[in-house]
Amino acid sequence: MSLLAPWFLLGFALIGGPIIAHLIRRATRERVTFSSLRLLEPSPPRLDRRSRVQNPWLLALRCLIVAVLAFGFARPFFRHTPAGAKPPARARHVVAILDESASMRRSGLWDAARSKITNLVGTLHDNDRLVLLTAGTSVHELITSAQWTAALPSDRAGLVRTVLESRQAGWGPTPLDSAVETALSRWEDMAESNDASARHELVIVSDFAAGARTAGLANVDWPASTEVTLEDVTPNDLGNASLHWLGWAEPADGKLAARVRITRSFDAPEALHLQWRNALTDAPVTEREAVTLLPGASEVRLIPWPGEPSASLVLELSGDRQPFDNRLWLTHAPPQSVEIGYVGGDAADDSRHARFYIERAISGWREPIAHLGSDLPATAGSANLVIVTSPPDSAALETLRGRVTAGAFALVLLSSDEMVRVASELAQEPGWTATAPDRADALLGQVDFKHPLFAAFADPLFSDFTRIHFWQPRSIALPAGSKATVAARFEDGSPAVIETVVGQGRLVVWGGDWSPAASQWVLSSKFVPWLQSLAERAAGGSARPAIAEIGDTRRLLANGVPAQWRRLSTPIAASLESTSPEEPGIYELTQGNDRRTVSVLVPRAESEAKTISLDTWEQLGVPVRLTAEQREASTARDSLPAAAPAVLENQQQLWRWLLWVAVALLALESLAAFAIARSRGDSSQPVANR
Amino acid sequence: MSALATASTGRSSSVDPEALLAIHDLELRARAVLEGVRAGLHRSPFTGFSAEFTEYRQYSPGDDLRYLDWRVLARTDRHYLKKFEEETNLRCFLLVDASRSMSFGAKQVTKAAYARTLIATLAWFLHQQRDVVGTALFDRHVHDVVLPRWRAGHLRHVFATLSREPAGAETNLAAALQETARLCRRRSLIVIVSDFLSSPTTWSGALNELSAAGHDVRALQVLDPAELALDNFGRPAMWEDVETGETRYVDPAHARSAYAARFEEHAAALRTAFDRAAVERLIFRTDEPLDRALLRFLRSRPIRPRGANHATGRS
Repeated sequence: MSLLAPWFLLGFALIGGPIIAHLIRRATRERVTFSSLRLLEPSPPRLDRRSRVQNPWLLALRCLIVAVLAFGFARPFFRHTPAGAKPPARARHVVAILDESASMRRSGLWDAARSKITNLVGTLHDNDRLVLLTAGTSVHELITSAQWTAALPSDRAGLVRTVLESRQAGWGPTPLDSAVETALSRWEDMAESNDASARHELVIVSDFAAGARTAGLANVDWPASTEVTLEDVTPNDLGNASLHWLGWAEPADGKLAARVRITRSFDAPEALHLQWRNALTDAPVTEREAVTLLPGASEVRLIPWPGEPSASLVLELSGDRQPFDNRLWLTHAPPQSVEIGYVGGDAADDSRHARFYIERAISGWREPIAHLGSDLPATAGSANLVIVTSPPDSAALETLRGRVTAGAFALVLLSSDEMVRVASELAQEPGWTATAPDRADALLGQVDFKHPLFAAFADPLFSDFTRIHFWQPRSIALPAGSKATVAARFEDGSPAVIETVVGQGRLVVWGGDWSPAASQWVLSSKFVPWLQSLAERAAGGSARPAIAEIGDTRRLLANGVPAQWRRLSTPIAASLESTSPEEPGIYELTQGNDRRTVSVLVPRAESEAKTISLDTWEQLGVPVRLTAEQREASTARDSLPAAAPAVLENQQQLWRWLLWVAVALLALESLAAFAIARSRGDSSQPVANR
Repeated sequence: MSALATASTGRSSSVDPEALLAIHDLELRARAVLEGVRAGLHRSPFTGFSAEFTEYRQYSPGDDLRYLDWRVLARTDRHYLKKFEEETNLRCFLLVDASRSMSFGAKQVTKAAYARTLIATLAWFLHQQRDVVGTALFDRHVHDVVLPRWRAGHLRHVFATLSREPAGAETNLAAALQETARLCRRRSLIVIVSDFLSSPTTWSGALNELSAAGHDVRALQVLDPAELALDNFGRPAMWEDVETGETRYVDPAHARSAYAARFEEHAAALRTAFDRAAVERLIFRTDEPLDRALLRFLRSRPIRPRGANHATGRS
């Protein structure tokens, strides 16, 4: 037995209290007044001792109460389950979580983990139930409760072995919190269909690398009587060197370079080398470059990109005995570009017209990179966005319509009534007419911030359009049945900005001219972001990264569009997959018409060499029950001695029983004291002035 | 009523002090005791000489020069004789211990109650013999003084004084005796009722002075039976001195023999002190019937004439 707060044993000193109280009480209660003590001599203390033992059992009872309370406050607990303890009468509902993250690919871990699961199955009785989960890129249920109960008890171990033999450690992260949430739901399912009073046991078999996702555990509402057992496995070789992707960099010479972090643990080999390889053929592209790194150190390096910018390469760190995090599959996606056509004929340096401001707006963009051309129809063939400020001739209009129908965006500014006809023809909706608002000085009164044109201004910080005046506004009276949607209206409710779908492309109509004489729009702070969001849409959507980690590949996807993946790096996959990739490599991602090359990497958190301490588990509120090995190792690990006793004591809560014992003793003592006082009152002799 | 009825039957059926002291009124108690005293008393034990000054008269030749007022003669050069009343034959001053130690008593009889009843009975007895009686209480000082007089209602005054609850202070017998000597300028019978538990060395000198002043001093020592044998105190306990508040742990069984020895030493010292001052001391246990106690007192020693006193004192 051990004590969590042994300093409370100092409370045993309070046992002296009842003893002194007994003596004092003898002196105070048995008091005799006498006429004169002049002739009396004090009696020797020998008689004090004799008087003390008159009710020794009552004194002992009181001392026992103090001792029990002091012992209870010391928070006792048993470190070991008593030998020969009977098996629990209640059934066990065990959910085992097998970590199959990338860090489990280290040498010896996977076999050890499977062995732990097999051993666990050996401890289960016939009425116990088991659910086996794996935590990797996602949480999989390898053995369901129904499968377990359907199998004969003699076949269950074989079922588990068969399932485990078909599994290998993955390349993904360690979503422990998601796995625990799944375990909780499985317990609920088992409780509905089986013994509700069963013991809930969660066994996590993992290397418990510090990079595991555990933040969600803090919000878990653990059922009562839940016990979490942490079965940790350790690799045969603790040393590891890793390679982490940080981003792209453009050194001073303008050449592309990859910024990576190289980390070497204390036990990792000293001879490390970097080398570029072809991601598709795995052939070396560059010579091996030696890496000199002190044990336990890490450094950031800029590694020049050796091939074409559009190539897909692998940066490999060789020499490490744990190679799972030594390869970076990289593909460089050039920034988006958008070709903007301008139909208006205005001079580029004439600040009285919109072109002057459009050119200055797009010149600073890094994503997408925009180019403004004014030669129609020369540029119409490749333009993603065409801005029309004056009526084009019929040929140009036809070219423009064809381009929009093919997928380009067209922005028509209603600088004159004639432009309404152009817009109507581009929209392929006859019957559009121009109306002028009641007031010459108009403002945007209603803005649809859910519309893609104005979604960037939805934040109240940017949603003020009342300072932008329009002096020559024009609005379009749409015919009934028009497909156009109104993105903004003037104060009188007439449409100010409308958008309609034309074929594969879109037509945006702005109710007025952008020249400073006609409105303050191009001078406002909202003009550039509005035009940029329109250009991004015209270029195919907002910029998306081309590199992501396994488990985080959603960053590569455009929202709402089904994605298909095909592995390009070795081993090259022949077919498309609709599920997110679970292995690192170069993939072809297809979403609608968009098809691009992306790279998927091993999560960098999997390279964390440190393990999750028991302190962390305790802080997360996980009711951990230590295994025998952990108890033995508790003296060697810093965090274990402090955390394990607290967890054990919290599970056993012997202090509650001691408190009840103290209460019972207190009641007994009260009854005894009352009986003694009563008997004294009855038997007391009439003594002078007592 | 039973106490009174029992008392009237005479000496042979003395009243238990516990039953007698259950009577709240001191006068009734004294009367009940006195009935028993009279039944056993045949003649007055006192042969007094006390005379009460009344007036002056001119000297006539042949008058006894002993009664000539020499002070008046010295101041006025005239001869006057002092005239005295001869109705009373005794002047008695009853000094009662009212200290806190007298409040001690086993069962229901305290030494104070016993002593007051005894003194009240004595006062009534003397008053009926036309003796003048005065009384006073003492602890650290003498207080509640009623000087000896002969007038109507004086005895009630004495009873009222004796009925007062004691203030509760420690005893200073020496100071009390000195103050009594100042109060009693004329030769008197001075009866001191106390437990005399204080050391006689502290007050024996004052007692000698009082006796040497010509007073007939009697000492009535009232003691509780428990004080004599240290009986009925049961288990060991913390004992508290009722006067000083001093406490000490006492096991009665263990302390009894030593107490008896020291008590005997104290009694011997008292005897020495009283004998040296020619003071008769009588010991009364509070379980002794009061009428017997009073009779014992009355029969103890007759009041001595002054000359005999002087002759005794000089011898």
